[in-house]
Amino acid sequence: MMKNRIKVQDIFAPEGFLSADALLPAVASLSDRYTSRESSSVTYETANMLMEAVLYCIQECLGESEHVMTSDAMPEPLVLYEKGYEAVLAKVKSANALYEELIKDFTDYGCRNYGDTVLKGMPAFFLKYDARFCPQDHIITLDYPLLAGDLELCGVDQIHDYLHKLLMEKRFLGHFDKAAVSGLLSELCPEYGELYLDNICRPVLSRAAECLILDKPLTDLRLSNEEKRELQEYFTGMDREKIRDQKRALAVLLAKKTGVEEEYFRAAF
Amino acid sequence: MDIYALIWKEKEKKELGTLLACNEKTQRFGLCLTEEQARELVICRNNSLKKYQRVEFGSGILDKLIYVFCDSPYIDGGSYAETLEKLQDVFYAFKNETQDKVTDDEILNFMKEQFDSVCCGDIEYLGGTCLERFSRAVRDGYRGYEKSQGMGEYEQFSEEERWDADLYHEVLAELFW
Repeated sequence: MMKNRIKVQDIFAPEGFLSADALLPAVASLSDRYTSRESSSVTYETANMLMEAVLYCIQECLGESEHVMTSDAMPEPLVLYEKGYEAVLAKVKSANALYEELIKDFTDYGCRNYGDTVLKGMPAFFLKYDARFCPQDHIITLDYPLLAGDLELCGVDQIHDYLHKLLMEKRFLGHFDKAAVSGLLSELCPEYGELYLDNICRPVLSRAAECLILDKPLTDLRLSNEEKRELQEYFTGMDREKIRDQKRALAVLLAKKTGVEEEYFRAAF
Repeated sequence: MDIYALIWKEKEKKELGTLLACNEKTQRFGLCLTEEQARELVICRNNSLKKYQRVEFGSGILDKLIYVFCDSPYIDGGSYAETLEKLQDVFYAFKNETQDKVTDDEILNFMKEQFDSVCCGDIEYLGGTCLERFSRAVRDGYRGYEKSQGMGEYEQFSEEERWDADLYHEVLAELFW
C-alpha cells in the first residue's frame, strides 16, 4: 500500500517544520535551472508550478523518510527537494516496472476505454513526465476508473497508485475466463466495446459474489433467469446496508482466494 | 502564503544598493540616479511585474538595463530615470509577448539596437512597432535571434522604407538633376 502523504500544512511553521520564506531559495534555484539562467523573471504561472514542484518533492522526501524529522534536525529545503527529486525518479522507475507487468498478456476484454487508457494514455506519462520542474502533474487523464482510486493523489504518486491497483484488478480478472467477462459486460451493455466507461472489475466482483451465494462455480459469470429469481429471494427482506455488508464480506473472501489486497476490495463496497 | 510578497520584501533590501552602485559606471555618461529615483524605479519595476504577472527571484533586470542603455545618445541626465522606468516596462511586456522564448540578453540587445537606430530614442515606437513586429514573428516560430543574440534582426521585419545609400542618391538625383 502507498504511504500516507505529508500534507502541505504539516510542513510549514509554526506547527510544521519550515517557514514559507525558507522555501524561496529552493524555488529561486529551480527557477534558475528552468530558465538556464537566461531569464531573470518568470510568469506567475511558472513560479507557481516551480513552488508546487519544490513542495511536491519535499513531501515526497519526508513521506519516504523512515525517521521522524524535527525542526532542529531538518535539512535545508533545497537538500530536501533534491532528495525528494531522487525519490520521485525512483517511483517513476517503480511505476514503469508495474506498467511492464500490466501490459504483459494484457487484454482489454474489448472495452475501448480500458484499452486506450492502458495502451495509449499511459505511455504518454512515461514520455512526458517532468520530474524536475513539474512532478505534481501526471499529464494524462486516466479515463478508465478504478474500483477504488485515490483522487487526492497527483503526479507520479497518482500513477504509481493507479498502476498498482490496476495490476491487482488485472490479476483478479485473470482468474475468470475472458469470454465470461466479455459476456457479462455485453449483458450489462450490448455495445460495451465503445460505450462502457465504468470499471470492469466491479460487475465481475459483484457477479462472482452472487455466484458464491448460489454456490455456483466462480469462473461462470452467467446467471439463468431462475438463478436471478433465487438471488432476489435471498436478498428479500435485507436493507441496502445489509446487502452491502454481505457483498463486502464476499469480496474479501474473493480477495483472499485471488491474492488481491483485502483492503482494496473492502473499500470498493 | 503570498509567495510574491515574500520575494519582493527580500529583494528590496538588496536592490537599492545595487542600483546606486551602477552610478559609478554611468556617471561618465552624465547619468546618475538619486536614492529617491532608485527607490521610485524599484516601485515602478514592482508595478510592472504585477501588471505583467511576472516574478523575479534573483538580482533582477534593472542593473543590466542600466549597463546596456547608459551609452545611448538618446538618454540624458534629465530624462534618465523616467526613460529607465519606461524601458523596464517595455522589457517585461516583451517577455510576455514572446512567451518567454527570448532570453533577457537577446531582448536587451534587440531593444538597445532599435532604440539607438530606427526609434531614435522613441520608446513608444520601440514597444508599439519594433517589439510588436518582432514578438509576432517569435510567436509564429521565428528563432533566428538565437544565433544573432538579437542583433541585426529588425530589418527583416521592418515594413518601412528607410534611408540607405541607394535611396539617398535617388532622392538627390530627383531634387537636383
